[in-house]
Amino acid sequence: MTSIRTIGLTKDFGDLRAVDSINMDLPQGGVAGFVGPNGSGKSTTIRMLLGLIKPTSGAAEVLGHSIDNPSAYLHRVGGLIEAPAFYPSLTGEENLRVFAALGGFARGRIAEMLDLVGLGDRGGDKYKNYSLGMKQRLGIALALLPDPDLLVLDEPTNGLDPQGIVEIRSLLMDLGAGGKTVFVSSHLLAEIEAACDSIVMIDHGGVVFAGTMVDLLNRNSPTIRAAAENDIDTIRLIELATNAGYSSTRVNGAIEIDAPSVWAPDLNRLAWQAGITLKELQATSADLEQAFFAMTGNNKTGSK
Amino acid sequence: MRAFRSEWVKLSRRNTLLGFGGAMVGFAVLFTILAFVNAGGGSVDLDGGESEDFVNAAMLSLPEGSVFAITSVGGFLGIIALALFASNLAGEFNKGTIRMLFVTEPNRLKLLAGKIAALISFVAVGVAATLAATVGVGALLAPGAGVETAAWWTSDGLAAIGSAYVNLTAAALVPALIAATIAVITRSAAIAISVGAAWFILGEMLLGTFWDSLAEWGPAAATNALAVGGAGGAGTMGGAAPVIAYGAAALLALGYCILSVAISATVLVRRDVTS
Repeated sequence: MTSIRTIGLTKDFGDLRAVDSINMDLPQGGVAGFVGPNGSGKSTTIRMLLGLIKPTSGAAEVLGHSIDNPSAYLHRVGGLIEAPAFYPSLTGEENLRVFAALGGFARGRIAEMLDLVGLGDRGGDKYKNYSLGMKQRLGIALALLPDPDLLVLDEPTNGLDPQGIVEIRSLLMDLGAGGKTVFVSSHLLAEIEAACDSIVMIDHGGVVFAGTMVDLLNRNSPTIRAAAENDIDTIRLIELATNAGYSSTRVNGAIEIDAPSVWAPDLNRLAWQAGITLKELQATSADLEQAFFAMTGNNKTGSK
Repeated sequence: MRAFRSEWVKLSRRNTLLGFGGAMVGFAVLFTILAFVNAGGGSVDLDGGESEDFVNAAMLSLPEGSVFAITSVGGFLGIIALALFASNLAGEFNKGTIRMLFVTEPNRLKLLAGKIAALISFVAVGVAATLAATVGVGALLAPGAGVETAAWWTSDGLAAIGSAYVNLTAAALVPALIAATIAVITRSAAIAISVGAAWFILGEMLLGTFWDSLAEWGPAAATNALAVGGAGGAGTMGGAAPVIAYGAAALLALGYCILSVAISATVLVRRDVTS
C-alpha cells in the first residue's frame, strides 16, 4: 500500500502552471525527500495533499483516500507547511492546546511532544519570544501531536542550528524506522541525502526523478577511481577500461572510470589477471547535490 | 464542539478578556455613571443655553430604568463585537494559522461553526457582565441621583433586564457577523473593522438622508431598533428613534446574520489557502 499516490496531479494559478501532471508513488514507512528548485511546485503539491488547495486536474490519494475528501485521512497526518504559524501572544504550550482541542488529540501528548523537540522547559514562554529555530521545533511538535502515520514536513530544518538539524534528522529517521512515513521537503540537499531512503525530485512543476536514493545516485555519473602500484601500469588500466566499454580520465596518477560501482570487482579481477597490482580502488557515486543539478539542469549558482 | 473548545483556549486568555470584555463593561459603566449624574442634575451645558434632559430621575426610577443607559448606547456593544469578530477571523489569515487550522480540522464548515459559536458565546457572556455592571453601578449611584430603585426588582423590572440581555446580544451580533464576512473576504482586520464600524456608526445614517427607506431595512437601523426594543424606543448613540417594529427588526437581524454566515461559509469552503 502506498502512503501517497498522485496521478497526473496538476494545479494552475491563472495562466501559471504551478504543478504539471505529477505522478508518484510513495511507499509506506521510511523517510522520503522532496526536492526541487525554488518555485518548482513543492509547496503547492504539499498543499494539495493536505487539502488546502484543490487540484485543477488529476488525482491523488493519501493513505488510501482521495484528496477530494481530506477528512478521511488528515487525522492520521501531521503537517508543517513552510514557516510555522502560531498565535504570538499565546505560549508554546497554549498554542498546542488550541490545536489539540481542535483535533481531539490527547492533552497528555503536548508535554511529551514539547520534550521530544527540545522545548520541554520553554513551553511556557510566549511564542512571539521564540527564536526561529524554536518556532520550527514547535511546528514539528504540532505535526507530531496526532501521532500521525504520515508526516508531511515542508522545510523542517529552516532556522535550526547545526545541533538542531542533527537532532531533527535523527528524529525523522527514528520515525521512519518505526514504521511511519515521513515526506520531507528541504533545500538542504546534504540533509535529504543523509536522512532519506527515497526521493522525489521535481522541476518546473514536473517530476524528474522518483525512486530510491541509491538508484538516483547510481544513475548519475558513478565513477571508479583506481591507481596502479607502478605508474607504468596506468596506461594498461586505461586499456582495460576501454576494452570493457568504459571511458576514463587520468587524474593525479590515478584514473577515474565512468562505470557503475558493480564493475569495481571486475576491474580488480582483470587487473590481477593482467599482473597489475592496484594500490587504490574506490567506487564513488555522485552526491545528491551533483545529481540534483544534473537532473534539474541548473548550475550551482542557480541559473538555468 | 472541538472547534468551539479550541477557540475558547484563545478567548479565555487575559488580553482578550481584558481588551474586549473590559471595553464592553467599562463603556457600559461609563455611560451608566453619565446617565445617573445627568439625572441627578449634574450635567454641564457647554453652550450655556437650555437643553432637554437626556434622562431624568423619573425615567430611571421606572422598571426598565436599570437598563436605560445601556440600551440607549447598545450600538457600541455591537462595534466592540464587530472588532472582536473581524480581528479574530482576519487574524487567522494574517498570521497564517488558518492553514494549520484547516489541516487539523479539514471540515471547514465545522471549523467556522465552532469559531462563530465560541465568539457568540463570548459576546453573550460579555453582555451579561455588562448588564450586571450597569445594574450594579446604577444601584450604587441611585440614592445620590434621587432615583428610586424599588421598581427595578419587580417582575416587570427583571423582565426588562432579561429583554435587554436578549436584545443587546442579538443586536451586537449583526455588525459582528457582517464584519466577520468582510474579514473572511478581504483577509484584513483593518478593512473589516473600518468598513464595518464606519457603516454602523455613520455610513448608513448619512446614506439614509438620501435614501429614506434605508431606515426601514438597513442593518444598522435593524440593529438599533432591536437594541432599544423596536419602534418607539429612544434612538441609540444619539441617533433618531427607530421606525422598525420589534418583530420586523428581529427578522431583519436574523436575515442579516444568516446571509453573513452563508457568505463566509461559501468563501471559506471554496477558497484555496495559498499563503
